[in-house]
Amino acid sequence: METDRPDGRTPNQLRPLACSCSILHRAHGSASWAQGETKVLAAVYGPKAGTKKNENPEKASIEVIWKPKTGQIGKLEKEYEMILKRTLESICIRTIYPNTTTSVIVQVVHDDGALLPCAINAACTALVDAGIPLKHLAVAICCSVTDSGCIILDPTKEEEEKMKAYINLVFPNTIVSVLPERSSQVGSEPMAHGIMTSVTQGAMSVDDYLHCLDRGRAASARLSEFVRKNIGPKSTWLGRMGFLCR
Amino acid sequence: MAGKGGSTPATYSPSPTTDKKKPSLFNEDLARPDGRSFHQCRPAFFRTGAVNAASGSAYAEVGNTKVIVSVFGPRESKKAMMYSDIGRLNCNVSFTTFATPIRGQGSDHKEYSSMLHKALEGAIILETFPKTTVDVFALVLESSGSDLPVVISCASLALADAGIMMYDLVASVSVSCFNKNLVIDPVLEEENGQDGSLMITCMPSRYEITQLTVTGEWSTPKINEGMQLCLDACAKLAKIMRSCLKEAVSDSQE
Repeated sequence: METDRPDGRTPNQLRPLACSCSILHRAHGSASWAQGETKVLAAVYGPKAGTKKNENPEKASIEVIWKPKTGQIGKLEKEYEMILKRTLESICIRTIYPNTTTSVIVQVVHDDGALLPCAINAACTALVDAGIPLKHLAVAICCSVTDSGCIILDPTKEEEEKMKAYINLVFPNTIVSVLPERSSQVGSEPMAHGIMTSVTQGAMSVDDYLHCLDRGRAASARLSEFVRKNIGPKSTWLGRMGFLCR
Repeated sequence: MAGKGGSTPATYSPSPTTDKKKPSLFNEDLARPDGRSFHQCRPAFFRTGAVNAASGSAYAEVGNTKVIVSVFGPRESKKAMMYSDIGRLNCNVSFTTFATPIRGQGSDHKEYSSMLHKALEGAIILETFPKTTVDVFALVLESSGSDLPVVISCASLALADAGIMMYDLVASVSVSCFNKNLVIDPVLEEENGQDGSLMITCMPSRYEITQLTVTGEWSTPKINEGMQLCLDACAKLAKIMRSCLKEAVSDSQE
């Protein structure tokens, strides 16, 4: 079931991706991530000594600060902060630096749909650039369901507004893992077949959700490939060196 | 008092424990802190018409979690707001200072308002009240885990009590993941130690999901199992909510 999209893409086609690391010099790690017209800048500071009042001091704490393009932070931005915080907590090896806080600042440069996945990808890339130890990379994608039940990937702002529902999905990428083989499994399944974060908006059937999950997982493989090309051994090593020098 | 020879000491020091291990969240016979089985929900109690001044209101008690929701409107949108041919929904979730074990800890959950809005938006027929706004104010009186699902279910009941047109009642249930175990309707103690959480908000009669939030690491079979568990619990919860509405109607007729 083909759907005509305003920009001429097919339902499974993603917008052009662009990513650059180490663009801020004062931050311990930084990255810019763009998907079409949507662009997000992420900066990582830390680990810094001490944790917040309600955090567990036996583990490293992650603090997320969301900066909107204009105006003050609202309810939606607070929700984005929470989702981002929980996602990053599940990919970081938090036992290595106990009683420390890592701050991740996300600045929205432009929003043209699929903003949260874009921010998650940017934050993950910035963490790698800062040399923060991660279990594995995470790739995020947005799927939306049209009124006719057709599923399209990576919608623009215009498309998002017309959709019946949309889902932000975050998948782990464990082709290369720093942890033992068994630890990258959930139950009997490898973590690569799993999911880390899922946030929906709008009403959809259970079948629609499961279809989105399959489509999203298929597209995440392409995203993973792109991420690995951009943050290859050289940039990761430089990021770690920079972190050690500081 | 302190000078008397036979008096008991004012301080108490516990005997040193030899076992340095932290106590396990679940004991050997796989019972939960409150004695429930893994797939057992807490007892739920709902009542409508709790606030006289509101257009509609509801009170919910699920275990020790107590929530009160008031609905005002539909009323005219603020002048500053642009014209809209569909209605607007304004949601706000707040905690009393005594709701949490540590005073004022409820302010950590600022994202709840946005999540409540998303959960209800898909179930309300917004076209039935153009140019107007419906305000939903939720107050958590006591927090004992699974607060947001209780708030959403209670808000849905309050909207029905206010006569706001909806496709169906909205029921919400959450599941926590501990290693290989799935635990439905977790309490605060369990939420603090969970590996992952899954919250489903659905319209049981239509078998549609209005919100699904997953955090932590889940495999595909676990997601499917958790979803099925939540959907079954939502269907049962919706029955309780319907019976509550029927009771309220029969009481008003009498």
